[in-house]
Amino acid sequence: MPVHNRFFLSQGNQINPAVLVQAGPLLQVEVSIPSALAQFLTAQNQSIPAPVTGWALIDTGATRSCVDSKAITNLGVNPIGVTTTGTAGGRVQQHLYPARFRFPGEALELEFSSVIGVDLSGQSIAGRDIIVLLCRDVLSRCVLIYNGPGGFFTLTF
Amino acid sequence: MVLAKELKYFEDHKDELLKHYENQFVLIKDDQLVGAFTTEVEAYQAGIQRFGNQPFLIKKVTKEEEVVHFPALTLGLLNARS
Repeated sequence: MPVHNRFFLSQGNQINPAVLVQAGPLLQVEVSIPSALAQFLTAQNQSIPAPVTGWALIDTGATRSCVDSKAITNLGVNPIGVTTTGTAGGRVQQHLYPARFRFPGEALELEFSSVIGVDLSGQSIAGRDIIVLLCRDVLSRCVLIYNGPGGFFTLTF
Repeated sequence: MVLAKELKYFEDHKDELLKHYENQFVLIKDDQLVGAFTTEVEAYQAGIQRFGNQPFLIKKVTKEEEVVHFPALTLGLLNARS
């Protein structure tokens, strides 16, 4: 089982717990179109859009993983369903999208038959947008250790 | 809203769908039931093969609708505009 430690450094490459507090547990992520759509486009001699890159924030509070709706629709992926979510303004319906997530730093790729499309605009860390929330559907297959005083987290899968 | 027509079809025919396809994933395009599948992946592959990259609805046939809870959304820490 691969073990991945993610340390959060301040200027001068010193481990700084405050950076983890500020940023949260983040992983680099690439969002791509689902395999079935890629195969279809290839068969039609159409080009496959380049992945959208950004951050994935680990969110232990939510049940199902999410993707930024703008990022996934910019890839040309159409919604395949809706689900109801609780928000500050009450319950709202969100579209569901099939999607593929690749984590370059972890050599991990996950294909989802559906994730929830939410508006994550304005959620930016170090000049990169948060485009994915990794939630308990993914964590059900992982061990996550959040070491606040140490300024790092460990993820095994 | 995208898929509004498909969702209306699902709601209008829910009792019938429950009778025949409970816990399966149905594929609906416009106001037509295309098929029922064991998994969401199979339904998506069938939809792509038949309709290409067009919107279509895939929905699990269950009595109760799933409500997903997001504390970060509920508390307003993240946006949730569709």
